[in-house]
Formats: sequence, structure tokens, C-alpha cells
Amino acid sequence: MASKKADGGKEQATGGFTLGDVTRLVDSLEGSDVRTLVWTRGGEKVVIRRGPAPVNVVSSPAQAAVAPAAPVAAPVPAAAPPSAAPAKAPEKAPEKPGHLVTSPFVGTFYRAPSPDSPPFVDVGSIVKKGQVLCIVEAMKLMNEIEAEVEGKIAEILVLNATPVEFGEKLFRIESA
Amino acid sequence: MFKKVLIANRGEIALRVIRACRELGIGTVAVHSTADADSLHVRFADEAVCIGPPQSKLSYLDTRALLSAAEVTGADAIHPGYGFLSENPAFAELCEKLGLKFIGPRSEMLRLMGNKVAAREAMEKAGLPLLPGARGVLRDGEEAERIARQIGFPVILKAAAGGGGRGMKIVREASDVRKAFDGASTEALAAFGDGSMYLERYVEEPRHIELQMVAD
Repeated sequence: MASKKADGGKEQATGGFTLGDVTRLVDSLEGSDVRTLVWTRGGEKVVIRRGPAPVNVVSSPAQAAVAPAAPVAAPVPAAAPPSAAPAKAPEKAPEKPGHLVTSPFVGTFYRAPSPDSPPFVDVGSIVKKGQVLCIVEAMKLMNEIEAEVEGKIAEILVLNATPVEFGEKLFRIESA
Repeated sequence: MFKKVLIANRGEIALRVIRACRELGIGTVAVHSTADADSLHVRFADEAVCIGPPQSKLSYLDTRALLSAAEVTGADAIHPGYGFLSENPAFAELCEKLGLKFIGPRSEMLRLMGNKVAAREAMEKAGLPLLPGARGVLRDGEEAERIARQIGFPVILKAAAGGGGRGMKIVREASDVRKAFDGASTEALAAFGDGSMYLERYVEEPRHIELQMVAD
């Protein structure tokens, strides 16, 4: 889900990015898997894109990459009504192998049938076609999302209990 | 005042509503289909939620998707814009039931005025002058012809659930009434899901005078 300009439209009076800011942003990407960083502050925006990443990325870099990038890429100031979904800053451009499972509804993503249960699947789980992967809850209805293909869960792309929109990528399944 | 409004529409009306919300300091949520992801109203709002694929029926007209989007974003009101679900009494009623403010008329008003036959009856009860016409829904082409002869030609056959000029036929001769009735009723059934018809005297070259009143 996209959450932008959470300041309710008020313009930022204080100045924009300095060379030091930009240099520090570039340096902060050094050694991380993040390849695209977008930071909007008031009326200014910095976009940093780095070269193509190695093709065979180790599984679950998405979780690691989202965490450091989110606080940096969040719009300033955070005076906003809090949005539960993290800002979608890093884009992974070269297509990773496998089948993407996307959400067929707007709702809230849950990895387990109830708070006390273990998750339906984890990274590395082997799944069969039709196997339940997660729940997307919409209007108090728990919709079970099933795997359309068989394979191995290579990546889980959403955090538990976060809102998801139609078409949001949930899992990447590779052939086992 | 609302804290956050979800605009259940797109295009220019969504932009206007978002702009009004901004002026009032109200947070805004835009909804969009996958086809409209780069649309201006999406970029203009504070938040955006993709609610479905390109077909309107599966996105902008999908009640469940809209209400779910309101729930996950914490919106406390929905502005329906115009068209789409803005005159849908069932949608308005669902919003009311879920504690979401539907920014528009009450569902019972939408229900009453959305059906032209019911609206005419209400106006008649209120003592307002109406064009001479059939009272209630026409049973069939035969009744239509009989009443048309009583009123005098030209008459216009109109869909009770209709709008936008569809499901309407002007008839100038008694011999044309039944065929016109069947045609208009079929068109209305396809367009509005309701083939009920009524008729009234047709006014050639009218002057259209409209008064708009807003009250809270």
C-alpha cells in the first residue's frame, strides 16, 4: 500500500537536501541489498538507484532490506495518522525466479490461523497446489489463500498482521 | 469533523473531493484499480489502496473491497463522488451499519428518490403538481396504451429505475405504444436490472429550471 505525504499537505518551510545528506544516503546503501531509495522531504525528492544486483539473491533479503530502508525512506515529518503498512521504498527490479502469490482482496494478512497457532508456512516450506499459505481477513471474514502451484516458499513478502491491497505480492514460490 | 475520508471514486470528482478534504485538514484515502495505479487522484491523496482489477464491477463497484479498504486504513467516512455507488441505497445502508459515515443522502432517501415511481408518489403526496401520467408501475403494454390514450399524445415511457436517458421512449401514436413499451422495458432490464416502466405526458421544448438546496 502506498502511503505518501503524510503531513496533510502542509509545505515544509525548512530547506532541502544538502550534498552531505545525499552522500550520507549513498553511503548508507553501501553493503546492503537495497538498490533503490526514494526520500521525499517537503517539496524535494531524492532518488538513488544502484547497479543491477547479482541474480541469485539469498532468500529473504526482502525482510532485511525493508527494515533499514523504511525509517530512512519514510516521509518527514511523521505527524501523520499512522499507516500500518511500511512505505514501499526498495524495488527489486530484475525478476526473481518463481511464482508470485498475490492478494485477491483488500484486507489484513495473517500468517497463521490464529494468534496462538504456528504459521501456515515458513521460508523453505514445501507446498502443494491448493495448500493454504495464509489468511487475508476482510470485513471480519477470514479468507484462506491457497497456493496455485507446488514448490518451495522462497520469500514471504509481507509482515504478519499488516494491511494488504488487491494484487499485493505475498509469497514467492520456486520449483522445489 | 472526520479525521480520514476514503473517496470511493476516481478522476476529476475524486480530485475535487481530495482537494476539499485537504483544505479542511482531513486525511484522504484514494482507491484505484490496477489500471488506474498511476492516476492523478491516487498521487494526490495521502494514502492509496488498490482494490481490484480494471473492471468497475470488481473494483469501484465492489462494496466489499471498498469497505475493507476503509477498515484497513481506518477511514471514518466514505465520499462516493457521483456515479458508481453514490446513489446505491444498499451501499449507503451498509456504511451506516458499519459505523462509517456515508457522505451523501440517507439510504432511505436514496431508496425513495432512486425509484422514479416512488418519487412521483412521494411528490404527489406532498401536494406538488406533476405531469399527467400513470400512477404506479405499468402492468404491460396494453395498460400503457390505455393510459396513454387517456392522457393524450405525445407521451414518454420511462424506466422506474432508470436514468441517463436510457430505457426511455417517446411515443406519438397510439399504435406505437406497445412496441415502445417492450423495447424500453428490455433496455431498462439490461441497463438497470429492473424493467419496470411508467409513463407521463411528454413536454416538447421544455425550460429546465433546477434549484439545488444543501442542508445538514
